[in-house]
Amino acid sequence: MVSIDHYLVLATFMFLCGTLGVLFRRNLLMVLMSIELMLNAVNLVFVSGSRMLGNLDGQVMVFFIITVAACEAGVGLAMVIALFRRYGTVDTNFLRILRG
Amino acid sequence: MTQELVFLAFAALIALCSMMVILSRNAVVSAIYLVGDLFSLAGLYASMDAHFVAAIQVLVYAGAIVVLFMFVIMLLNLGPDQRQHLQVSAPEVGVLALTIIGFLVVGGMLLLGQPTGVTGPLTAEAIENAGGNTYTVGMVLFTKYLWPFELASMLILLAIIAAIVIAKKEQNKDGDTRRLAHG
Amino acid sequence: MLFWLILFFPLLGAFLNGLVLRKVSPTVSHILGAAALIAAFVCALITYLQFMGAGGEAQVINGMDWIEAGTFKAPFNFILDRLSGMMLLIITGIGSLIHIYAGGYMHEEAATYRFFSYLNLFVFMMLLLVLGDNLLVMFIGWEGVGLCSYLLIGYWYEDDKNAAAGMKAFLVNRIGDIGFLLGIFLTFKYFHTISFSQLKEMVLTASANLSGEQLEAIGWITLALFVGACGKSAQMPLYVWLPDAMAGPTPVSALIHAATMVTAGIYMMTRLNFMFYLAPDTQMVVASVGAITALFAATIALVQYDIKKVLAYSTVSQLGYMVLGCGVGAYSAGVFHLFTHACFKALLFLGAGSVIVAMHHKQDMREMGGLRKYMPITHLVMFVGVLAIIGFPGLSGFFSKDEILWRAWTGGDRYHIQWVLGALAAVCTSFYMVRLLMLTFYGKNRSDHHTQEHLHETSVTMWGPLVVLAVLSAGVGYLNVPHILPFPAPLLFEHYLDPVISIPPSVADYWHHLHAEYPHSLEWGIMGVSVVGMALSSILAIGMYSDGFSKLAHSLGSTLKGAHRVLTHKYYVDEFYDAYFVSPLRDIAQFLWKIVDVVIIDGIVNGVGQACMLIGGLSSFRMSGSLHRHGMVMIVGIVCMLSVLFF
Repeated sequence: MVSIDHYLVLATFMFLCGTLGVLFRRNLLMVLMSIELMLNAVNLVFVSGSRMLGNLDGQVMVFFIITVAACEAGVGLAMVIALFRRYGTVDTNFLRILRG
Repeated sequence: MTQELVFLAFAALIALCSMMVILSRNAVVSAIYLVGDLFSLAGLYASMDAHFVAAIQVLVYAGAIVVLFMFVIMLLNLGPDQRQHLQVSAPEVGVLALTIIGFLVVGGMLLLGQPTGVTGPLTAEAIENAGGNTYTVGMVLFTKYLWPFELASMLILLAIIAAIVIAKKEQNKDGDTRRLAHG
Repeated sequence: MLFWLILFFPLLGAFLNGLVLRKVSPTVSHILGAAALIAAFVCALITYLQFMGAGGEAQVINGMDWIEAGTFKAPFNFILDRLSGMMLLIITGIGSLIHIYAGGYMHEEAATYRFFSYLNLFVFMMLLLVLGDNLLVMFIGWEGVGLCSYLLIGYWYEDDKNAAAGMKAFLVNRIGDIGFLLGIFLTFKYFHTISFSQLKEMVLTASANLSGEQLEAIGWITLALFVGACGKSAQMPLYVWLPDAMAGPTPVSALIHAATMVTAGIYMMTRLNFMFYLAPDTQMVVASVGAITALFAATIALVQYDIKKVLAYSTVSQLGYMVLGCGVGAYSAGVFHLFTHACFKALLFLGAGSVIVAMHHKQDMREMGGLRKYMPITHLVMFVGVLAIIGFPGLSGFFSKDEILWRAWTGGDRYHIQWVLGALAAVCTSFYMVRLLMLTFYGKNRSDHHTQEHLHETSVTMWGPLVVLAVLSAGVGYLNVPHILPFPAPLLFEHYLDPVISIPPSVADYWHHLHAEYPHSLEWGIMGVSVVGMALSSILAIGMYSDGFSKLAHSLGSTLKGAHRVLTHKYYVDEFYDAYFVSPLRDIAQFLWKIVDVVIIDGIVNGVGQACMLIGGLSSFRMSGSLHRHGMVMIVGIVCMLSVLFF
């Protein structure tokens, strides 16, 4: 019997990978991909919760999360393109415009 | 038994692909691994009887978002990341350790106090009887979550407009560059 | 089906001229505009004949359902009855003549598409006004004609004065419209319907069921609606826009400010005559305002030098007569005067337009004179027009104006003062109209040499319609001959409008004088007073002005210098309005703009932005800009938060 713990551990692992990717990759696109990884981890949690609790709200939530992820990816990639045009690089070490 | 095997297989795939996503040097290779991740997740969802979500995952996530990523990667035509020792310094190692420990702790906590059994009306059998997963998800989506549904469509519209405006080519007349990047 | 074409043709003409055919020659715009109107007239005529042939009973024609909000229903319904049928013919018929004339008048203009588009649009709106079966459809037309009036008065908008005149017309109309709107609201509140046919039924057949509250409300409703009529029909105190409206081209003055738009108020009151009958107090107000306006405007016209201004004040005065007719309960007399006035006033305006064109757009009568030999046809038709308006026996004005005065006198003691005012106004009317005729067409020509050389008769497109209008002005009066005169078909018009005018039984006693019998000698007497007054003042005017400003005119002017100055300055009404209404409003608006909007509101909005930037500046000094650092801090923060939650 596959209980929820298995899924939760797996999801935590995915989330960890995603976080490390966000923190330690220099390529902006890689950062975005890691964010997608994190979102997928969350999706897994929701779906498994929905299965375990006998409620479909979790799956509906996943629907919305995917929608939002798509929007965010779209806008984020547009910004990457704009940044690349402007600065010629997507290396996060060089992109320090928000310096206060 | 088959349940567990299926889960194990998919879980192994997911773990492997996730690690390779963040460890690859080449962005395209990372994207491929991400696709692998997504497909395995979809399989996992399907094994959990969440057919609708699985289909959406493949269609939208793997089929659109990653494709979009690919487009941008190829548009920017980046070479492989220079392997520069992952650029870690002392405080960052500390933070890394803290993060990993933190997650392990959280994971342990989750493992300790978890609910067991099914506690809701929509068991797998009930969903089957009602007409299948897609049908019931649709029913919930269009009755209880109608408002968020409509707002989500507005959100998509906004995102489209924003993406178009942000990524527009800058126009070089009157020296008026840079304006469009700020939207 | 034909009925819809009546509405469709002017709209089509407006659309084509205004939006599609903008680069064509003026002739094509003219032909298109005139053709649209003539087609509408033909359809109207056929519809009317069919209608009368079938007995002339009112019928409601259903358009589409427009507004339905709870109990409030305002469908696009039209009512075709004797009154609206007559108005249809007047609007489209006289409108066609004026459209034909306008081509000649505007031939010096470069692009007349705008002009004819607006004219056609105006006709469409006026038709809506006249044909609507409920107050709201009428109001659409009401506002629409106001809009077109504004557009047309300010047609030559490059000159600021013309634009200002257009604005004045629109704004003063708007003030009246507040009254109209209040009337609509009150009607709906107390009667739960704004449809004319339903209101008529409620008031007439079910008049016993009207509650006391409703009866009281009728007084206020009619008063509010009358305020609206004052605005549109240029009565006191909202008449000030009409003389200024002469800044527009003369065909506009003829169509809008003589024949059609200004009659909208009288039409509205006649349409709701059954309600007005139930409100004797309002009727008294109506009659008084009408009579006062008639005399007031007539006195101003006595000393005006601009030929169009004389006609403008004359229009205000004649409208006063029509309103007086409505006020004493003689709606058919008021409407008949509307009919005859449309004919002869349009004639007079168009004739004045011919004179103006011949004089190269100079309008001051002091520079005219002796035009009789240069423009014989125009002189002849203007002569007929003047005879009609002063009430010369035999022509239309005689029959219509005297009917109103007769009804005022026989209204009992209540209305005797109004009769006196009206009679005095008639005397003034004869005086100033004959003065106009003399100064323009008789005596020696006083214009400069250059203008004199170019004086000639106008083209046939211009005098043709004038001849038709002259025939109408002469003949139309015979539709309502009083029965004391030997005529085979007396009071045709009054009987024609009988089904439309209905006195509710509960007030039948009050209005019994409308149907009572009077001794013939009384009628001859009243008629005689009018004719004698007209004759005396005409002879005086001929004496004073037959050859320019005679010595008598000058000496009278100098002895009555004070009165003369007051009249020339139009009783200083415009100055009064400017000082007490316009200037304070303008100052308030300036204050609101300069202080409230620019300083306060913009200050707040900009201030909020500045505050945000300030706060942002204060807090952003820790940001290094490195994405990684930010990410690290965030993760650390999350871990801390989770630990706090779990431990």
